[in-house]
Amino acid sequence: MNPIKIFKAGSDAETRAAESIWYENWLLLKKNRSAMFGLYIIIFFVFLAVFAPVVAPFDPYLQNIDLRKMTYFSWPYILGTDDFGRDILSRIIYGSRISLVIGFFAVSISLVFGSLVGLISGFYGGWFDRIAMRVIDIMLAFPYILLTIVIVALLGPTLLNAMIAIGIARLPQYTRIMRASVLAEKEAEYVEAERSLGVGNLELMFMSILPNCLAPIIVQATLGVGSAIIESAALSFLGLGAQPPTPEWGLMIASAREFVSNAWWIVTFPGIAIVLVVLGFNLLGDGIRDVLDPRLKD
Amino acid sequence: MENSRFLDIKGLNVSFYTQKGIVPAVRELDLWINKGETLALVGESGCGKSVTASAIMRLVPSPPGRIESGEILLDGKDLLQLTEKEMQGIRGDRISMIFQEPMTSLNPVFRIGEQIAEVFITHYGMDKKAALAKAVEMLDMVKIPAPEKRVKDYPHQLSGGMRQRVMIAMALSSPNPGLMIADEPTTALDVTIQAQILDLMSELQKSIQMSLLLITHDMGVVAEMANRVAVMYAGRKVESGDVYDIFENPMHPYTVGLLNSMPSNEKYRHAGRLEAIEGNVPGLLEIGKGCPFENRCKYAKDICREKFPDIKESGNGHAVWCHFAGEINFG
Repeated sequence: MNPIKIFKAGSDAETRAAESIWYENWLLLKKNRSAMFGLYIIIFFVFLAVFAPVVAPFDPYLQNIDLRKMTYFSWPYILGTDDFGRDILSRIIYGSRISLVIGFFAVSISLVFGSLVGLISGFYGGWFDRIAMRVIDIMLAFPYILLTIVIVALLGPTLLNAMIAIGIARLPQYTRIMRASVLAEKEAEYVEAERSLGVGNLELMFMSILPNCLAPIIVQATLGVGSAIIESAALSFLGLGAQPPTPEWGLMIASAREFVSNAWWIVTFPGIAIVLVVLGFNLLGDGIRDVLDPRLKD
Repeated sequence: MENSRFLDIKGLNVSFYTQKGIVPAVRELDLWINKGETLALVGESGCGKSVTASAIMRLVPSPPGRIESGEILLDGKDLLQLTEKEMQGIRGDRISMIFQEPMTSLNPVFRIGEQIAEVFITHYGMDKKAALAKAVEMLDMVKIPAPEKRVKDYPHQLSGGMRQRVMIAMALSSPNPGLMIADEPTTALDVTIQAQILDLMSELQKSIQMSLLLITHDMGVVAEMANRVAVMYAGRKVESGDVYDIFENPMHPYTVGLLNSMPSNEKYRHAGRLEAIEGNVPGLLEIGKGCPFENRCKYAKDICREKFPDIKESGNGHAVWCHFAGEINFG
């Protein structure tokens, strides 16, 4: 984890010049095995999601009453079939599309709006800050899953609304993190230096302070994708997210939970898929945090 | 002479409104700098030098800071009357500033070339490519080797001296650099680089006839660079005058103390031992109506506690605010 080694590798001024901070961090991240393992898991699932029609052996919606609850390894149904005779592997593969979209979409909502509020709050302070922070405090006072359920109940139980609900409910964390970084960064000398060069507020906020506040937000967002996937599965499990027959992992678990004693694989394999993806994002997120947090550097 | 004053500060008062009370950081300050001249503003930490600089830039953090009263005339125009928008046009255009900390005054996530180019994009309306070309030119001007490669560097890849040069390059990139404020430009640098940076600054200053406000507590730097000197203590100006007068014939006990604590000054070094001014700058909240230096001054009498002294002027514009100016023998 010693950055000096990297400099030696390309000590020539020309190659050194190409090394941006992000490139340097990438080199550090590459050395972190668990983070890379996480990244490989994510890449694997992204691949499955993108090429689902090619990779999946069957149509995930195709029912076959004769083949209900076939056990795993019953060729050609590698992971068996569910109670409607649908191929579980194919449904998991298609499900990765939904889960990843949920993860990224929900995180994008909280990332964009949460950071924006945090950035303005931290930069300008004043009445906007006071109001925004009180609203955030109120949101944080609710148990998280309850808040999500309330929002879904208000919007109606669809997959899109579940994503929006998860995004809104997670927004306060991003606001807090962003505001804290902005408060620290705006006192930095370079901000005053740029002011002295005649740089205006908006430009300062978005062009110079924001890029310096990205590190903790990136960590939070990476970890957030994993939790958003779990939460959407939980909502689907409660019947508030994806609706049948969508091949959503949480929904697959929910609709098969009554067979768990005689056909455990129907519940277990989607569960393993959830665990793997979330693990992937958590490992990557932790790795990114290790790289970006200066206190963890030696 | 009034007309040649490029920067003219009259009766400036800056206060900070804190929990404990109103802290007067700068009081009744008068300063002026002629075109092409260097004024050194000296004094120890916390005496209001940097606040004065921020006030000129109108960058006093507010709240808690507030410019209470006074005029800051730049080329005859009062900066304190301008709107924030107009002031933004002045910053980096007519006045530029070099900051104390080269290590932290550059934005860590951008290449230095982009940061210099920013000035050209903002103030000249250049496109990015032309601005980057100008950035290379500026780096060359401040004598950074291989500037065409260095523009692509990030601040963390440069040494402190080089970063300070980048700061100077940025400050000099302004279209009409009439006034440059250098807030302790060399304190963070080691001595060899200090000399180079100072040389560079005075060279550039001569070539473009720029006024320079040099804020420092290093009397050596003052002797090297300044035409005139203003000594500040606890928010007040206590002595000002031509650099030769100040060094040859200091009249305020504080100025004498500053000169005595200069390692290289033979004239004021007694018995081979470096003198220090006893005590510390008083907390600005505790200053009464008297002379702020009274509690540390060997020569203080009752009147010093009761009344801030009136100005005493001698020829050549040498002014001092001390009840006993000219009466004390500093021997």
